[in-house]
Order: sequence, then C-alpha cells, then structure tokens
Amino acid sequence: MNTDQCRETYREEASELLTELETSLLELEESPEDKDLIGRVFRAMHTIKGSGAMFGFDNIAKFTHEVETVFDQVRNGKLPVTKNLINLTLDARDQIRAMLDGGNAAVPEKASEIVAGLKALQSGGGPVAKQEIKSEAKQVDVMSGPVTYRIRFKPSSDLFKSGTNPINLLNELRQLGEHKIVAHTTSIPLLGDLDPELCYTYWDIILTTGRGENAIKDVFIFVEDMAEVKVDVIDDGGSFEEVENKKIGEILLEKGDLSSGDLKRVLGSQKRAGELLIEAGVVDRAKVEAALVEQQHLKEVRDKREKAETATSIRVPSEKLDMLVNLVGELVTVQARLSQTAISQNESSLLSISEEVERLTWELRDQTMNIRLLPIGTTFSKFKRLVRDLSRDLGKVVELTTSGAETELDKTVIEKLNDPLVHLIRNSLDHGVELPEEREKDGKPRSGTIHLSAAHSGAQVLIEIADDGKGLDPEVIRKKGVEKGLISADAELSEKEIFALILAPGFSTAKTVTSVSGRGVGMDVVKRAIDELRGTIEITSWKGQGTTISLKLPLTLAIIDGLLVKIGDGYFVLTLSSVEECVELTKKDVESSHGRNIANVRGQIIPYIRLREEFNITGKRPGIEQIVITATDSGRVGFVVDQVVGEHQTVIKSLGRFYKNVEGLSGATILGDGTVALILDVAKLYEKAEISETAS
Amino acid sequence: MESKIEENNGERRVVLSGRVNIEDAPKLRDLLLDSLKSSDNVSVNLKDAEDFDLACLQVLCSAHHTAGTMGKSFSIADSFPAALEQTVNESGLLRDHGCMNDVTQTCIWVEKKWKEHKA
Repeated sequence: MNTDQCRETYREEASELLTELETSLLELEESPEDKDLIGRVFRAMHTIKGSGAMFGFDNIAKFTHEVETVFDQVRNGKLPVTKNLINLTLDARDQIRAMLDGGNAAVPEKASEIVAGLKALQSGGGPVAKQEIKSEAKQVDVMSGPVTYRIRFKPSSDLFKSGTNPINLLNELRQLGEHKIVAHTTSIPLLGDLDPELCYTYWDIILTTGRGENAIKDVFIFVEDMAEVKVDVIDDGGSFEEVENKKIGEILLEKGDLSSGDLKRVLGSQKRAGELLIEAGVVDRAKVEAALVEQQHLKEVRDKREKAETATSIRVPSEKLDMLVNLVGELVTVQARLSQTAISQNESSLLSISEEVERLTWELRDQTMNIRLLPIGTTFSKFKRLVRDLSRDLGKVVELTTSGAETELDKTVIEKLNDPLVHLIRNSLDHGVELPEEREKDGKPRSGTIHLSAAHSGAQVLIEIADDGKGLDPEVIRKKGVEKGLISADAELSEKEIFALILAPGFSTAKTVTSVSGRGVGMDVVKRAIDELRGTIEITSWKGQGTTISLKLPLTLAIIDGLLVKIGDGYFVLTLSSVEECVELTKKDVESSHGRNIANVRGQIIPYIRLREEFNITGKRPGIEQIVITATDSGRVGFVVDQVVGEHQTVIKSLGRFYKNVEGLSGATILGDGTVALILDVAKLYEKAEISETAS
Repeated sequence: MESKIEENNGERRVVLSGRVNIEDAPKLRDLLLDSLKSSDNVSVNLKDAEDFDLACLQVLCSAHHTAGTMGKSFSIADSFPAALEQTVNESGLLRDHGCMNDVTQTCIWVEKKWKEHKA
C-alpha cells in the first residue's frame, strides 16, 4: 500500500471512528457515569490520534491529543462528565472532521478555542503535565496483533515509602487492553505484626494487548528497582490448532506456584485439580483462583479471536461495488437474451445451459445487492446530534428515540435519504414539538419526543418520523391551499389529501421564516427526493397529539422486479411491488361506464388511465385490453395496456439528459432482444391525469 | 481521619469519616487491634469515609485475618461508599473466595458481598 492509499484508509477509518465517537458522546450525555462509554470515547480518540501521527496527520494527532488527555482524566475519575465537557468534545469531533476533510471548515482559531475550553476544564483536574507526557509516550507505540501476557508484579515492601501508589500502575496496565487482576494478600501479617506503611500485597495480571511487551515494561519503569516484575507470553495470538486451553495444574506449574511432584501426588483422585490442590494444602486458594482467572481470560480471548477470524471483513471502495452492480446489470440483460434465443431455437442442450445461467445470474444479482446493503443506523446517530443541537437553539426539550437501526438499505438510497430526513426532523422540531411551557399547559410532559423508526415491509423499507407535538390543523392547511390556488374553495378532500397539500411546491404555514425551516421550499423538495428514490410519502396527523410521516422506499435502486407490458409495438415496465392485480377490460365494460375511465372490479370502482392515449400510440386496440391495477398514495388506480407479458428483471438505466424532464417515466431498461422498454412512474402519471381532469 | 466507637449489643462498631489513607494507617491499625481485644464482634463503618488507599485496605484485611485467629468476627458494616468500592476494585482485591488466611470463610473482599452492599 503506498502513502496515498494509507492516508485514504486512515481517512475512512477515522471517519467511522468519528461517527462512533459522536454516538458514544451522546449516550454519555445520558449516562455520565457509564465507564464503558468513557472508555469508548477515550479509545476512539486514542486511535484517531495514534494512527493520525503515523500517517502524517500531525495537526489531527496534536489536536486530538488535547482532547484525549482530558478524557484520560475523566477515565481516572479525576474529572466529571459535564454538559460543558460533552459540548466541547462534540465541537472537537466536528473540528477533527473538518481537519480530516481538509476544507476551509477547519478554522485554527476554533481549534484553539476548543483547546482553551478543555484546558479550563482541566485546571483543578489533577497533574496535567504528567498525563500529557504519558499520552505522548503511547502515541509512538506500534499496534500489532493482540498477545496475552501473564505479569507477576511483586513490589518490595517499602514501595509506599517512595510515594508510589501501586493502584496507579495497575490502572495504567488496564489501559493497555483486556485484563484480569488478582491481588495476593496471604503475606499480610496479623495486626500485631503489621507495619501499615509496608506493602505486603502482590499481583498476578493477565493482560491481552497489541501494544507489545515494552509497553508493559514502560508501566513499571519507575519502580523497576523496587519490584519484581515478570512478564510471560501465555498466548501469542496464534491459530487455534497451535494453542490449547491450559489446565489449572499446568498454569500453576508454569507460574512456579506448584511443584510437579505435588501435582502428580494430588492428581490421584477424581476431584477437580484446583479443589484437590487446596485440600492437600500444597497451593493457596488465592493462587488457584488466580490460575482460574487466567484460564478464564485465555478462553475469552480465544473465543473472541475465533469469532473475529470467522467474521473477517474487507474494506472495498464503493466505486468498485457500483461497477460490480453495473456488470451484473449487463449480465442480467445478456442472460435474458440467452433465454430468449434458447426458447426460440428450442434446442434442449442450449435450454439447459440457459436455465443454469439464469439461476446463477439471479443468485449473483441477489448477492451483489446484499453487499451494497448498509444498516440505516449509521445515519441515525447523525440525527441524534441534530436534534440535540437544534432543540437547544430553539429552546425546546426534545428526545430522539430510534428503532430498527439494523434495517438494511442500499448504500445509495441511504445517502440520498439523508437530506430529506434532515428536513423532516427539522420540521418536526420547529413546527411540531411545542415549547416546554406550552406542552405543560396542554398537560403534556415538558420533553417532546421524535421517534425515528425503520423496518422492512416486503421488498420495501418503511421509515417513520413520528413526533408528539401539536399536530397538523387540516382547516389551516385547507385555507392555505385555497389561498395558494392549489385547490378550489369547494374541493372535497379527505384529511389525507389535505395533509398531502403541504408537499406541494411553495406551501408553508409558518408565520415566521426561521433558520430551521419554514421557507416553504422544504416539503416539496422532500417529496421530489423521495420520488427520485421511487418511494412514497404519507402524512398522518392528530391535532394536539402529533404527526407521523411515513416513507416507503425500495431496497435498491439498480435492479427491480418489474411487470413487462405491451402497448402496440412498445414495451413498458411497471414496478412489480406497486402492482396489485391485472383484470380484463372488455368493450362491454367500456360501454357500461358511459365514457368515463372507471372500471368495476368486484364491486369497487377503480379509475384507470389509458396508456395508449397518454403516450399517443397509434394503431388498433385489441378487443380485450388489460388493466394493471396499482396501489398509489392516492389509492388504487389502473393502467390500461394491450397485453401483460409477465415478470421481468429490470436493470434500471437512466433516460439521459434529453429525456430527464419527461413526466411519467422514471427510466428505461433493455430487453433480451435489445429492445428498449420504458419504466413507468405510476405516481407521476396519476398525478398528471388528476391535474388535467381538474383543469377540464 | 475522624473516628468514633459505638457499642451495641456486644458489637463494637468503629465509625470512620474523612480521608482514610496511609497517613492514617497506623492509627487505624491500633484502633482495630484495641477493638478486637475488647470485643468479640467488631465492624467498621466506612460510609462517611473517603479517599482510601491500599495501605488502609491492607489494615482491614489484616484485621479480618486477626479476628479469625482470635475466634472473633470482623466485617465492614452497612453500605460501602463508591470511592471504597472503586479502590477495592482497582486494587484487584475483589474475588470469589477468600485466601488461605480466611479460616472463617468470611473474607471481606468476596465480590458477592460488595454487590449486595453497594451504597
């Protein structure tokens, strides 16, 4: 790997660590006493700093070091987790992000401001200088694979007199990795013989670390003349074939706590070795316990390594995945051609190969699509920060709760979903959730809630943003709709249709324009973005109780299951997930509807659109046409076609610049014989038909 | 370190407050030794004590051992303050079973007790 690649890898890893850091900080704000979270924040900082220095990001390393130093004190219980600390650390996180991106956002003054703030927190927080030296030393350590060590630390009895606190040394060891520490107290004499200023305790420490033996020895560097420190490798991280879990007797023998003669003598009966050794009085119970701790620790380390080795992952640039998807798309098209050729030639050997290729292509398609799926939770953490900062700016108390963070969606969909979700959450915060005083007056809790959830629903993902705010007022929206000329004054609209008005361009009911939302350009942009993702948006609201915005999105944007239909000589594709059923439309049905485009399907009236007329396709209509009935935001609607060909694996191709603005079409696909089929935008076609009907 | 002695139904309770560290260890040793000489049942209340170190924990450990050899009982009474729990935890003293000096099997460092008595 060359230097540029290393730096790029660092950028990617640091980016992930910054996301993790943000999540941990927000959680820490909720549970300031949680030591695991403090440890997570510290470790993220430490890795960003250490690797940053290694790959030449000296400014990041230097800046992060300042923040890490503060968190080292927090970890040691010398500084409390306060709101101010969280704010400063979140700012520091943003600053590191800006430094990483290398843009203008990384203002050196801002960095100095943050460092000054952190230093102010530290004053009164203990021996800062010493901490800094210690952290600097850590920076140069080279990380390697984890090795498990057994450390026996036996200080001389006059250790206390030198002013050394052995607990501090143990805590430094703890920072190096996973550990188990057992203190041996058998040498502590009876009170009458006890010199309270002498140290009688010694320790066995089992430590798994990738920092190397030198890092361990560095911990004891100032006490090497006053202590016996023995460091042994007991697991070097080798493969499982090479290492076996040691028995208690073996561990005690290795440590010199037991002689082999005693071991053989005692192992005559069927009891557990540890119990036998204690009963026989050849080993102290504490030593057996220390050996058991070591055995347990090794087992945990090996189990973890086994899991890690079986779940190895590799980092692949997303462009390579995009290229793979494109190639799979081409393959799907060629496979369709092969199937068609095989069928037309009716050659059994070719048919068999074609079927095999078809099966493999479908499998390859599914696997490739799966690779691109990411859990949506990666974006959720960003929103927690957004809600935290915005509610502070607006003087509101709002909690963001999430569920379904593990729901997976195509990487591109997640990326494109970010802006609409930000806008929807901003809207909920600004217009939905009330000020704490208003909420109290209405008998609601002071703190409002915005719930962001994601769940799979068939081939789609359902995302909901629900708030418990004041809800939408249908009367106000209706009035505004009339004022803006979006609806006529006497229009009969359902509540759902009224709510859908807020998605229209230029619609805004906010009395004042704020920096958060309310410029009236938001919701239509959201609608357009969701349309582009081939998704749908639905609003439900209860006055005084809250609003829920539901987004339905396809899992992937590259290849869809489509329904291929034919009109005249042209082929069209409808998204299969939106198709409910296909029914026949006979001449008799048309006559009985008296010129109106409606069909009676099992007693239900379904409006339909004649695609032949919509696309000005000339030629004779067949005697029996087909209606493809689809489910849209506005209800069930049919599309009349000449013939339903069947299901089709549709590789979506964009229409290009020239046809980008053609309404009612969302793309195209190439069929097996090379013919181009247009992909219909069902929602847009319906919307268009509705507008022209209203106008007429 | 401030100390006071409470007597109740034959139990002697040594109540400590303020910093309990190496400077106070000799005083603590004498206090506990005197108490064990004059009572069969001694406990130490550390609820209002703070800033513990290993030297004092060794004195407590020794007091427990001494009580065992004298056929008497020694324990840490009431709830354990968080600072004490932290020092005991960090020093690696918490354990599942007592050491070979724990003849009465009432080791004061058994983890289970600390979980039960958490302040």
